[in-house]
Amino acid sequence: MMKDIIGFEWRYHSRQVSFLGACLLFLIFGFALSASGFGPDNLAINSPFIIMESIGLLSLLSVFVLAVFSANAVVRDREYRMEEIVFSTAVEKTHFLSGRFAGSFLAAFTTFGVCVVGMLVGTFLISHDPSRVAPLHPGHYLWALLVLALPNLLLAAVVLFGIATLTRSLLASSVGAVLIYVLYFAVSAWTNSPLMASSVPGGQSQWFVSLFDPFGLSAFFEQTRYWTALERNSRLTTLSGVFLANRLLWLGIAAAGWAVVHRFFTFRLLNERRAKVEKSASATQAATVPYAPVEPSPSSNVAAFLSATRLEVRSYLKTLPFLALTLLWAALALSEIAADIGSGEYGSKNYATTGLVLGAMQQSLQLIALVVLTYFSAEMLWRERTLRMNGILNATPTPSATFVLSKWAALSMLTAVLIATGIAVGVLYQLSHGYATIDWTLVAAFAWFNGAPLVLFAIVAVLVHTIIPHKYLGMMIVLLLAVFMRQATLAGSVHHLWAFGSAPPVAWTDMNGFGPFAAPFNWCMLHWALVGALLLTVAAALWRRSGAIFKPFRVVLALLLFAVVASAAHIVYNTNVLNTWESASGRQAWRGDYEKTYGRFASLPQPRIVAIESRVDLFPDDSRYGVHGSYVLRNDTAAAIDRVLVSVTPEAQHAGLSMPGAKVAEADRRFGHYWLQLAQPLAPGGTSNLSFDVTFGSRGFSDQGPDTSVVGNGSFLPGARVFPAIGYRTRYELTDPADRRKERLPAKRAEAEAPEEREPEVVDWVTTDLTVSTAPDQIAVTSGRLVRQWTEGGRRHFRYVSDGPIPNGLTFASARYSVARSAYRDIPIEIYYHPPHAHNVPRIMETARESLRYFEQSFGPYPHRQLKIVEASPPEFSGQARPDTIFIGEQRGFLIDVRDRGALDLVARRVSHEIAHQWWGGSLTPANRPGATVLTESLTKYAELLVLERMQGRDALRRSLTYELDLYLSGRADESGSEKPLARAGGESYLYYRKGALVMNAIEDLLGEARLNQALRAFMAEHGGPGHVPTTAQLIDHLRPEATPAQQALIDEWMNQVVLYDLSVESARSRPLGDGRFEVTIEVRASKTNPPMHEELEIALFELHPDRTDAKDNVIYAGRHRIHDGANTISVIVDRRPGIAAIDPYILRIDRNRFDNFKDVTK
Amino acid sequence: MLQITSLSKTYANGVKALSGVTLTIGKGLFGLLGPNGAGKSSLMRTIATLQDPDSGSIVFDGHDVLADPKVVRRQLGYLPQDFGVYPKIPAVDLLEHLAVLKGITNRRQRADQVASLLQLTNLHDVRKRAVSTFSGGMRQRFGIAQALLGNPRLVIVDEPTAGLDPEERNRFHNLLAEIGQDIVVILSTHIVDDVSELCPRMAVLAQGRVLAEGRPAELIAALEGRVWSKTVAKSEVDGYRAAHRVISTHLFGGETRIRVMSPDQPGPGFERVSADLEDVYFSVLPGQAAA
Repeated sequence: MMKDIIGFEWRYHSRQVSFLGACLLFLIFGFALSASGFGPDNLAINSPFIIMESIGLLSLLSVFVLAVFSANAVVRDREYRMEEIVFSTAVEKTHFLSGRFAGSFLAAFTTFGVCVVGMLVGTFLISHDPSRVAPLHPGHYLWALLVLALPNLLLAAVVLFGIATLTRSLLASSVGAVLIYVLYFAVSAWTNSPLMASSVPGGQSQWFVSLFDPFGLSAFFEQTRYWTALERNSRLTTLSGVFLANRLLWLGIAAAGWAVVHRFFTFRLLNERRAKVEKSASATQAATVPYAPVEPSPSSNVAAFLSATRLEVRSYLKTLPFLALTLLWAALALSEIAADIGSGEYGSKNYATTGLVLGAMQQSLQLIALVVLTYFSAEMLWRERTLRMNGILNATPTPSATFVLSKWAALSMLTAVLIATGIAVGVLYQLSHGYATIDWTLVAAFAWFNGAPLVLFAIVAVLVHTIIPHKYLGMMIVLLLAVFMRQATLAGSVHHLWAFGSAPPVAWTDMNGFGPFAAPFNWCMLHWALVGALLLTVAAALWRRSGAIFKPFRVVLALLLFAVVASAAHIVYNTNVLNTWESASGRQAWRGDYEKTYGRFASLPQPRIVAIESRVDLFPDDSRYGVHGSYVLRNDTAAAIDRVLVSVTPEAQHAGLSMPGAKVAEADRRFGHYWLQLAQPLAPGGTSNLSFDVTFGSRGFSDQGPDTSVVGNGSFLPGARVFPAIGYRTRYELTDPADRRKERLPAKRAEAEAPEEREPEVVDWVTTDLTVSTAPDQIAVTSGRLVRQWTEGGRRHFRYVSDGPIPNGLTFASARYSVARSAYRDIPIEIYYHPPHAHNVPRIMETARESLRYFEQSFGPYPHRQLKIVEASPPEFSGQARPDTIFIGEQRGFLIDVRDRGALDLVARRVSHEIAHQWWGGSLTPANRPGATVLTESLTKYAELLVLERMQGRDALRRSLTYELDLYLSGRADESGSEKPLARAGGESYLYYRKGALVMNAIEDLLGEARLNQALRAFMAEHGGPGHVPTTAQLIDHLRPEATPAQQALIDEWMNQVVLYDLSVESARSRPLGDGRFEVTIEVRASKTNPPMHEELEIALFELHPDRTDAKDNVIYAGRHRIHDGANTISVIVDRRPGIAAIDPYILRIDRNRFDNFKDVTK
Repeated sequence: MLQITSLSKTYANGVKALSGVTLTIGKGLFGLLGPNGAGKSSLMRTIATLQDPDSGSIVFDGHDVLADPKVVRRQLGYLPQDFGVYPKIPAVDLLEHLAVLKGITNRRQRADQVASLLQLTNLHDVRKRAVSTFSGGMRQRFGIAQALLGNPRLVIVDEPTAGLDPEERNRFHNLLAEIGQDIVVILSTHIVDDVSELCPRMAVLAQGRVLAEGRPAELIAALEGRVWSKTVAKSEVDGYRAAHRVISTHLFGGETRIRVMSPDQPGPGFERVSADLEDVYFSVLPGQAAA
């Protein structure tokens, strides 16, 4: 019996068009993932890790397909009115339910399995990058299907089948689908899932949260988090730990769900509740009105549209499923906001500004709305056909366009309700978090920028369901289009005119609003609205009724077509004529060609810039700017120089260059390179002048992001963009190994490994005299002492002059700033900030004074005569140090909520970090060779930690180091080559920041702060200032005299080798001694990657885990003990009974697993 | 007046639904009689502007229906053979909505007409109940009510009496007769009595063709004197079929009564009977006889 039902069910589903459609869908998705080379460069496309991730990702989409199979397995009896026949048969409930479920699930899982075929084709037949294909292991695919896809699909199938069974409504089952997604999104937001862009950087141990990801992806990432590339390429995920727990939990929930469905299902027809019979019905029997014909009014379309829309709203918006969806969405929005605002970098908090609150939910709003639109459009567009009401409606004189429009309007209203709900949640969150400044313009903009693409997408759904004569096939096509449109927009590899409803991304800052981002978006939306109108007209023409299809629409279609062409032309004129549009591969080729063309001039002797005198004109209102001035060039090489290579950013509108006795021999506009041929060669030691006049201006708008250097308010212009440079520009080179392979360039590694062959790139030190002009109501800031400011010609001018040579790295900022002033010693400190962002100004000022005081003590005198701290507006900007001036981002500095003094103070960290750069990187400028970043960044990190510990204590330091450790371990896992020792770090931020912080902190502990600072002072004194080219080897040389031989050996290991520790507390027992004291015996295990190990490590006893309390008396015992490889037993006597024992609690060693360093003390 | 000329339609799956249908339909009730699958619904749906024919033309009061369907839709009342309604929407609300779609924008006029139609179809007492909870007869009456919204001059009712009990059917017929005096009403059915009771004019449609057309009385008169009846044993029926043109067989009190068409006495035991519409119907259907 059961077998027959399963068999029938399988045959039923496998013969539907939707079965083929679903197979095709997964084939395409699987193929697209593999063929596009999903995953980082260091992992094979068919590595077990990427296979797991791909299949897990695809299983997210399976929910839609399961709706077709699992929900349909029950709903179809009602839809096709078979219910009465089926339910009156003698079939048993268990057989009926299990059979239908099993058969439909089998069909659904089969279609899902097809994705593997797509992946194999994408990997082996049409490979994106042959170097990323490993030998085929079918087992890896099967394992991923078994442990990830099967439980995921089972769960989703039970939820959909269950809700559909109990309600006989596909729409209600869509609530189940959304519920699963909501859980997934919420967990992803909290667990640092690499799949979510808004994920929290630097996660804590999130294993508990990972448990609740219904798709198991968070648990999978949790397990593989610290795996290195080698492991990810070879190891299979194991069913253990939180991954196992997650799988079991959700399978259990699926089973429980099944039991509920079984318990409550009955073979009864779900009748509509009869409406309350009006008691007064007969009483109000109206006087008999005789029937009389009424002539229809010829202009009834508006009334018909309103009535039809009202009816849709009544049938969808006011229903329980939609209410439930709205509530789910509200819960998700709240969780996204809380995750984003409440746990920023290093666990910091942000002020709940309107921008941040709304930005937090943007991504999930788009996804949820697409899910809702996909489901509801299928239901809405098929409703009349399913109910068989289309005959009556289509015979009315109401035009097809009215029906089409009312469907679209209802879908748009659905979207509007979701957006409004999100806004309501956001505003309530703001009010409840004491941030009462609600920016309603921004709220409106949020609705517009998010709503417009969604409402346009609804048009696509309307059209698809009008054309495609099969509901579920249509639904899958809508899904495919939704994914395609999202991807095309995200990838940015095609012009936005190719993806319906897409537009260049919009970024917002408090200082400048949407600035130059709004225009391209609005133009694109206008264009897509016209295309949408065209599509709606086509939908109206193809609406299923008789009549000449396109004839009545001829005029409208022609007009729309004309308008579409005109708007497309306008956009193309702006993006491709006034601006240039280049594909990602085109940009890559440009960089490749640059290196091929000019790479041979990298070590051509060239003069050096020693002085800059220039005007810098900023025109914020029309986004144009330019420099006009001259360089003093000096030949510091041993050879006479007869030609000078000058490079100007190619986007410059005008570049005029001149040198006395020289002519422009060659102008290469593609790369902005100019050869100046000198009539008289420049002798060694000789100087000359280069005059320049370079202007920039944006014309029209670009498809690939606007130039945000100079904007209405909050200009932030890097000098490197606007000033000419001398010689070959290394920063144009491609760095990604895969990109270099594609451009047939030699691997860069060789250079890093044999650095001495090439003359190191030395930072130029220059004197500057800069006159910056800007709008009359703005303040312009750059490096140097402000010697004069004046207004002339309706523009405000500022003249900044350097007090001596400074490293040549300049940035210009201009905005309507407020200024806060203070001083440390005789050093004036100024903070230039956006007036509404005053919250953190006192804190920044305090940090600045404290940092200057402390760094002068530690590293030597501050190298400048003033310090300027400037708020910078670019989104996602965190901080930048320039000579005597530091820039701090608005969102990642000025809007961080520091009211909670217990939390880690990210503002203080960021400010002290940038101030420390005045010494490390500002005063001491290493050559561009391996290890340079240790001197600029790792030492700065050390300085930052010193301030942190001084201002916030050792517990704050510990919490901060946990982030550094996690980021180091996950950074090394993503390393594409082999990990370099710290002393040879190049551009790897996980080394120079993360490992640098850990190692410098450990060295401080090893030598003591005084001796380490003594060494650093000596190092700075000897190698700081212009003309010096310090190296990491010299740093280590300076550490040596301060260290014992044993300490020297450790420093050498940490700096010059890659050493990892494995420390754990195996057990800890306490025994009362009777006199109120306790003897605690702790068993620890230790090992490191280069044994033998024989080191003094800290053993500590706490009352509570230090993550949970900041109490001063939490520490019961802390002492150094000599620890060797393998098992160690330590016994100490303490006054109080400890709760938890720890080895190396303050993270003085790089431990692969810091979680097993703590263990509860047993009695 | 509705003029249908050479209407043909073949569906994508190869079914030839209409082939060269030509009909002229004037005011009053017009019966379209035919067995299931004869193409009645296809013809009705085509006239109701729901689908396009492959060839042919339909002209209503001088308007080309196919070229400009909107003109006829403004004068059309259509009751499909099998229709559903939105769930949970009360009858009065649904009728109001359909009235708006039909173009009755004046609120007062609309309310009056909806009220009068609810009374006419005897649905006034249940007007606040969802139509989806109605019984078959009530739903059918609702169908006719919506078909009469506006000012229909062409009413198409497709198999309206299927599933109605005799009383409801009777009431329905009265309603149709009442409205069918000044306008064109096309009634499709496979029940001969529906036509004989109601329609001054009729046509028989089978396999997509018009097999007979005219006034029922004239069509019957043409057969007068040629229909013979005899009661026979069930086992003899096949023999008679071979020898005579049997137009129908009926069971009557357990015995089989056959009707045969013949200009003269077909044989012993046959008696001449007066022809009826059923004889007309069965006589034109090729190779068909009701069992």
